[in-house]
Amino acid sequence: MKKLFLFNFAIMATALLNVFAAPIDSYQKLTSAMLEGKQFVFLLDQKQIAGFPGGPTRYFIPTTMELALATHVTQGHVTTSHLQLIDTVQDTPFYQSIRYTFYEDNTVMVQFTSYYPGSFKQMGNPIIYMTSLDKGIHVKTIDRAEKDDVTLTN
Amino acid sequence: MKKVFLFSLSIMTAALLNVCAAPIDSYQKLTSAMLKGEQLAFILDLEECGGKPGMPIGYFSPSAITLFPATESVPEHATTSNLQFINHSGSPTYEYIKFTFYLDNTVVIQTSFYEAPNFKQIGESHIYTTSLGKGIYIKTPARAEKSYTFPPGWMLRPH
Repeated sequence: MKKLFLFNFAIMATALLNVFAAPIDSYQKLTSAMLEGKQFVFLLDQKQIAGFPGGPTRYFIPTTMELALATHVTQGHVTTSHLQLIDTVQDTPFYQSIRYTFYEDNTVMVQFTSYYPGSFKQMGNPIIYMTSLDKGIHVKTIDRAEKDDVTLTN
Repeated sequence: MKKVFLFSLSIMTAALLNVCAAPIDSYQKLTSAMLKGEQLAFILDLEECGGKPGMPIGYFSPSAITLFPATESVPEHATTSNLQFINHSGSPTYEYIKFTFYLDNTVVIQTSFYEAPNFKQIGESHIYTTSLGKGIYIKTPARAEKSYTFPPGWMLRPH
């Protein structure tokens, strides 16, 4: 009887820890989870960071990240990026690169750059958004992600 | 004793439901899973989507999905795509596949091929229109990792 109770209690405690696990809301947590080898998912609310209502919400699972330690001229930062082909049938296909840079002071830079796929010539100037962790960009670890709902603003 | 048994049963059921989670069979479930940050796996059977018989079955775990809100001319939808390099009859080629999911559960799958050196399109794009659960199946593999191991016959042991 006691064993059964303890067993139930252990399962319940695991479930509760899972439900209330905190998302990655600071640079320190990000680098710590990164060095533990955890997998991440980013949720980028472009209407919040860009301030226009029609902006999409982006989901991204990075497979590579780079941690650059602070130097006397730059603060420590983590970078990752994603390159995807955008082909809408009507338009000429182009590459879109989205680069995320996380800084020690919890600010995040998101940079969008487009390229012609044949030549890799840049199309126009990059678009850069500055925000901070948990303000339009939410980072979670995959094993925790299931229970952490994100409320997106309109 | 009975209460403990029922309590155990309810926990086990919840755990099993988590392990044997239902597949994602609607647009709402897809966007909900996306916003929860769940990892997804698509199983694509193009033959079932109206493609030629004998077409291979594809597996794709998207690393990026974009959810577009509705506009005056376009309904809300979610898109993801994959670009992979293939050797197409000796020619270096890019194969592009794009998935667009709509609120009414329809899915548009677009496939295109490009010459790798210059990105010139080879032929025309093929477009398949289907619905979730018909040739395109979505699962959340991350859920399966959260399995609880119960000792054999643990519930039947007398206490």
